[in-house]
Amino acid sequence: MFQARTINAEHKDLIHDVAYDFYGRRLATCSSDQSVKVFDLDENDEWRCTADWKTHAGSVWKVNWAHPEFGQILATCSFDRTAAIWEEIVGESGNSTQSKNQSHWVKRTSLVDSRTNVTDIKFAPKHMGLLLAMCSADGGVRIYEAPDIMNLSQWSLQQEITLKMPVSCLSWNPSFSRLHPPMLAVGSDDTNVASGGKVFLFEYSESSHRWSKAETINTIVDPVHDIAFAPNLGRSYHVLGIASKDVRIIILRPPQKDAFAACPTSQLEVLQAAQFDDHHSTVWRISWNITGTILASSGDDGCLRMWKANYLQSWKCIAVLKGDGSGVTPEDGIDREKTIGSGSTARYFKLGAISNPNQVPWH
Amino acid sequence: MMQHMTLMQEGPINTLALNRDCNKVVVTGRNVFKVCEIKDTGFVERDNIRTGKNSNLNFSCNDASWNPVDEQWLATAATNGAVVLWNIQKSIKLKQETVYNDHKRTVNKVTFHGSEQNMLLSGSQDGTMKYFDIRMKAAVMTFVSNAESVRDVQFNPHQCFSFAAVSENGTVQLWDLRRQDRCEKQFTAHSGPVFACDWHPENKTWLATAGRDRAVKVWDLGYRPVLEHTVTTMASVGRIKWRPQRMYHIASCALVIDSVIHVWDVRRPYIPHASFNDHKDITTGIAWRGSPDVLLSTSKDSYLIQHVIADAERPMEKANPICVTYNSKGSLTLASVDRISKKNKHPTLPRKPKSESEDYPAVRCSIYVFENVKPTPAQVFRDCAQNYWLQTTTGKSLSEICDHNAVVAANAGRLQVATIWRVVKLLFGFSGLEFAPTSAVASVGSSRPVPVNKEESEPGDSGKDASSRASTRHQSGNVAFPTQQTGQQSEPLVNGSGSNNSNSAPTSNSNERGVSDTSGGVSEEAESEVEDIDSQIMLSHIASGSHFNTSDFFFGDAEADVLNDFGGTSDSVQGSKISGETDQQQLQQQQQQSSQMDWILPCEAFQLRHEIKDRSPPPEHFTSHCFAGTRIEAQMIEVEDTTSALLCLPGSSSSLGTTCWSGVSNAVEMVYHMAEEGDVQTAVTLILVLGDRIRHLLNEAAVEHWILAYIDCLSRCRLWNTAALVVKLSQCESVQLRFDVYPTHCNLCSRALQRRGWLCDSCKTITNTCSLCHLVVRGLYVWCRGCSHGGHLLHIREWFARNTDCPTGCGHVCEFD
Repeated sequence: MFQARTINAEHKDLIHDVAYDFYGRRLATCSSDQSVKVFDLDENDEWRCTADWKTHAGSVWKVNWAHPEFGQILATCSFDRTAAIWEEIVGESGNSTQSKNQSHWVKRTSLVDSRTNVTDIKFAPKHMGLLLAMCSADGGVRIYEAPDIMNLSQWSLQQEITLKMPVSCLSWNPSFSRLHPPMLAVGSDDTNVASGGKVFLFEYSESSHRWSKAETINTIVDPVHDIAFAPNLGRSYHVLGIASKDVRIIILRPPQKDAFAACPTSQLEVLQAAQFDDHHSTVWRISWNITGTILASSGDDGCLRMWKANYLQSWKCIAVLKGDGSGVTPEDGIDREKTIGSGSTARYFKLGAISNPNQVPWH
Repeated sequence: MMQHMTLMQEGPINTLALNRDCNKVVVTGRNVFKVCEIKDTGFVERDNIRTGKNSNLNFSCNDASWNPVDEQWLATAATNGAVVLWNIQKSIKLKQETVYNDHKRTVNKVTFHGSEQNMLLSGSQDGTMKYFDIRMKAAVMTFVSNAESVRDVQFNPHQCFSFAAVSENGTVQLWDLRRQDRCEKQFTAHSGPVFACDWHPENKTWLATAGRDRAVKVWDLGYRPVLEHTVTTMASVGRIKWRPQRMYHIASCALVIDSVIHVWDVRRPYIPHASFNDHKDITTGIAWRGSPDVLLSTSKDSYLIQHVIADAERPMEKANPICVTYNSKGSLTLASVDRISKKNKHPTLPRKPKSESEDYPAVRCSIYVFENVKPTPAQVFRDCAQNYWLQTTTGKSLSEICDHNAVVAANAGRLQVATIWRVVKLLFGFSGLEFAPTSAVASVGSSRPVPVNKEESEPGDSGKDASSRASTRHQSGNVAFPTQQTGQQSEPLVNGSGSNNSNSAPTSNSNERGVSDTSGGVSEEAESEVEDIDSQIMLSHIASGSHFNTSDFFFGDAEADVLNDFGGTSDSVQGSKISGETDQQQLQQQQQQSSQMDWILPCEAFQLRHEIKDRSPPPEHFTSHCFAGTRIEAQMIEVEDTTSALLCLPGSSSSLGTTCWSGVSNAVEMVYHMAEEGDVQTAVTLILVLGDRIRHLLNEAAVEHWILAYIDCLSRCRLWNTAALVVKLSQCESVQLRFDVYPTHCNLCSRALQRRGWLCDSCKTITNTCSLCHLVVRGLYVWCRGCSHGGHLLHIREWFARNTDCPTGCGHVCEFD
């Protein structure tokens, strides 16, 4: 059962991305209105906007937090062909209450190498250093590194990979294992089904210091809108969620190898664990919980659906949540059980709930 | 049907102009001056005006305008400041009619009046606008703007004598043709130069302007100019044109950077309604071809292109209207557009240009945070992480820890994990049981050159505090089986008791080497035969239910022998011997329980994974000799596993199974299973609690991976203390190096502190004493990051309530957050 509450974001156009920081205590949103807002939990456990600034000259597609070890850093990417790195400046102590409530973000750098719409930007897992990848609609995937983590205005282009189709999303493999080479998954929203697989996996080779394509997932030919590796949490395999016209869950099993006898030539084993078209429309965004056990997906139907695997690794829907208060038509075939109100601003319908957690054996 | 068409010219094109019927287009540039006819299938070149050798600067144009009333007249704005009138119906090659050299500098814009065929207006870089009557040979009127240069002039299509001019200082001027002395209205529209303006074709008071501030602004010029809409684009806007028959649509192209033509809905000012991305270079001219669906454009890439709106890219369609994210506390956030009326499901995403509606609603987005009322996995994780006991050094015995952790898991609703803890308790927690494998493998230890004499007394200690000892040892291979001598002595006993079953050697192939080393006379073939018989016996025993007695008998027997043996070897074992004996009965019960427990355990808890096969280290340093009881027990469990149809790796499992008490292998399987399931918490906690009991059977890289993953999760939950404890107990050097090492420096001499954090070797003083009371600070130490002086929180707070500089007198003005 979920309790819903609203944050009055006051964005003037579509919100394209919301991102929590590492600890889940700060929330950044970005919108087509070219601005980014940062919300913090205040003393009363309410989300309060502490920063709101214009970041780009076009729609801001994605916003991403760096690991807090590097500071309070945000990366944004935009339709205006640039990506930007922002850092929060801690206000001068003893200033007015105004500045105490509002934090100040400064642009540390602008990454302008792309000649087209920058569609996604993500910081690498912390153990790889201060590294970020961005991808653009011209098929470019660029990996930048800040050689000096104290100097956020200097980013060197580590590598540029060019794909033959527009790239819409990317995801870093979060695995900590030294047996897993750094991996990057990239999805394309090319609408041409005939152009083949839309998800590409790149691996970093420590010996050649290059990223190279390890695998193309040929079973996914529809445009991909979002892609997300599940938190690895010690698994020997990787779980990849893909938002296309349906939700797909792919299991990538690295070649079995001992720590002693590495055989880099062997292939990843790609298995499709699940495929759901319950949204009956384009799926736009997916997100994993921190244990990598529940996948949340949101689609054009306005619903949020949650997926979970049981102990037999069969995935199924465990909850459907509807955000907007416009009501669910009976044709939707979902029975309304109970209305959860949260103030007068919006109504929520509980459309499903996690059944008895005891029946869900693994978390 | 209109279609996409292109025509390449010799050089960059600066502008284009359409005739009234929109079937001819003139394209001009520095080296291009052509009239083309637009047919359904493509462009056809009619006249190349720039012919012959007599081309001069009059032929290179910034702008062109086609007389909308009389099609023979064409006016161009030349870069040399001339306004040139052309009669394109002249049959001779040189079609030039009149050259007006009135402007002193480059002419930026020429335009014919919409209905008066003789009226021509020009705007120039020299800051003036001139009105020409094409029947005259010179300008009729000059309008002087107060700006440096005029970038665009446009006749008001709704008022005969009115025109608008925009200039580089950001102002818009509205002039009446009949008043030369001053403009009617003037206002500042942009911060920076204004490059273009366009009157709305229908709405009489609307004027759109565009400038270097990357904005397209729509003004209502009623009584007072009111800014109606602002479209912010990503580059300086060079040209704008309202889309015919569409109230709110306007096309724009950029002056720099961007070669894309965007069609905006001014009410949706952030995402273009449609985009044409066909040009390779800056787009220089755009014109709607009379209809809202066809757009002509020219570019510096030398192409003239006819675009059809149906082919346009729709950036809106690629923009996600909804997004979702999880946070580490397990609450979900959904941001979605407030919409979805029953009639029109996707008002924000017009899929077909045919159905694009003029009235789409304002977009409003809401963010919903869904917080789980029931405990989410994340909260369960948090609870367990906080409450689990991880270490065995706190005086708690393993079984107490297991009990506690089982309760924690059960309270968190993880009944299966709770069961695992109980099983672990049964497998390892019982002190007496720890002896059995220890001594059993100790007999194996005789084949290894391990000098463990000084550790002889440890088994005795382990009765009280076995696990703490275990965790202090670091020989991963043999830590649990340290007694060489006792092993040797107990060997005959073991063999003797095992002889009833006529087997004293393991059967696994991987152990063969060890067997031949130690047990000598028994051949492998014989052993495996014996083994077969034995397993049959065991199966029948299990079937008849009589095996418990047998195993317990042997087990108990061996146990007693071992204990006696210990007693003979070391005095310190006495205590544990007693405890072992008094627990004898209980031990047997436990034994049975554990066996039964194994039977009733759910399959998945013991599901074997492939990884085990490859990851288990070669088991050669385990047992070559097993005493019978343990071996039988191992057999028993092996059979169970087979019957549960989950045993897929007989090789590894039997090698582990025959090693000693197969609980170890089961625990290892459990750990691997939990990790594969993503339950790194249980896996890591098991590893830490069991420590060296199972550590040597686990792949170090995998363990490091799990621990790192667990620490990451803990730090996401801000459970720093637990994370630090995990690092401390991890015994994993790479992990500890990554998290545990913080170089510290003495705050007096600034040298690195070598040995410990509170004593400086070089200045021989205790660091970090309180600057005020000069005592060693225990508990919270607060210090200034500037001068590194500090002390007790209370003292420092008192001091800085009254002072601003450092209490040591170092002169630093200390800062505390």
